[in-house]
Amino acid sequence: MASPVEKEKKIVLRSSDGEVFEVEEATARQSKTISNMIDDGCAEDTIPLSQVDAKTLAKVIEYCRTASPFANGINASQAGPAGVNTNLQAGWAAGTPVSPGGTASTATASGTQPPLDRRGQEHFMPITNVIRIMRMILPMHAKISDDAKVTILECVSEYISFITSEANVRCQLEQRKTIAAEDVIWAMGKLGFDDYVGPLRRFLQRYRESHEGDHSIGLRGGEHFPIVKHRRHPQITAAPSVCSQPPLMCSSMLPPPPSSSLMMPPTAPPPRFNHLSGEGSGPDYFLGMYEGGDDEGTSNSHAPPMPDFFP
Amino acid sequence: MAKADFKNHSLPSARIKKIMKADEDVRRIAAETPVLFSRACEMFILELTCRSWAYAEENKRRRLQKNDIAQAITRTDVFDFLVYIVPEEDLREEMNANDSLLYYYVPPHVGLWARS
Repeated sequence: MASPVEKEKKIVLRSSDGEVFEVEEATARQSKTISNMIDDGCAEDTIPLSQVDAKTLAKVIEYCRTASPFANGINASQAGPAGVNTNLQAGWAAGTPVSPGGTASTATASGTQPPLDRRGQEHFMPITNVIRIMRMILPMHAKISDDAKVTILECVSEYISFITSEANVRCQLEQRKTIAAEDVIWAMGKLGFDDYVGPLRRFLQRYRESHEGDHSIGLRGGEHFPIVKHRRHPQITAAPSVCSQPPLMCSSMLPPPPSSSLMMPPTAPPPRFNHLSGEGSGPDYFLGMYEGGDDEGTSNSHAPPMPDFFP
Repeated sequence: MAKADFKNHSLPSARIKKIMKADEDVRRIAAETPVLFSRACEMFILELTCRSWAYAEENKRRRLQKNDIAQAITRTDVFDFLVYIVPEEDLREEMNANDSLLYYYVPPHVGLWARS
């Protein structure tokens, strides 16, 4: 993407108060928002940035220009006073604890950090994923305008920052350095998202149950223990007569099937072995969460008892 | 549809973690926290979209627009932290609507104070 033609391509940005800035595409793309909009085809002629006034935008462009190898003249006009918050979302109060009353203080107080990383880029969720989630609840015929999509993206990022900030306050009060999942759930309850608390607690519990084997050192590579999450139901039913056998410890105890069906048996034992162990696999089985899964179910777990089947 | 597939999260954990770490006060994050946020953000998106869509329907539109989201934000207390994201003109529409209500109904005691 570094062809000379694209280097010279200008992107036109329009601030909230109507001022127009022309910047190189490479410079403009330092903003993830703008980069996404260009890629999504939202930037036909001018990209409107309705949250950024001319003063702020000029500073941001200046920053991007000096940080970027592509130095070029732009139409930036007045530069604002130094120390103005340079985040693209004016009033994005990241890191500022918010009163439960819901009125977020404006972000300029006491040097609160805007949510830009060192390269001046904001972070948003991938738009495709977000739209997919939106479509879960919208009717089939519904359309979504482009600025609505962008707005939702911004809202999600703001939501994460908002909750994280509150959770972090609690961690700091208790002198803990790590934000745990419980802190996040607690913060949600505190900030008014009570409805989320119950479902999220259950989600967390199921997640922990399904991952409880992951941290055990001795289980690496041996997937015939109950951390298997991707068993395929059809594997069991697809196996021939061996399926009707009651769950046994080891497949070698089964009478060898007729020679014609030597193919299937190797895949049958692991699931039954796990089923017997039972730990965690029961609830997993029936929650319907791991439909299909991926194909790692047929991994090396069936290796050991095979010699009996192959004369 | 919205099955909780722990392996393939709807929203990328790494990106969530980046947003969390954009706050310089944040030090370390437990590994399961971005996973939890992934689910929480899903719920958040669903709620915000659902509430916004109600206003689109109210205006008999099939296209969800930014001002729908703005209305949802202003009318839902828990979304107060989002007021800065929607531009003032969208909010102004909302406030004008409320103002007209205000003029319509004047509490009796206000009139008393004015007179005395």
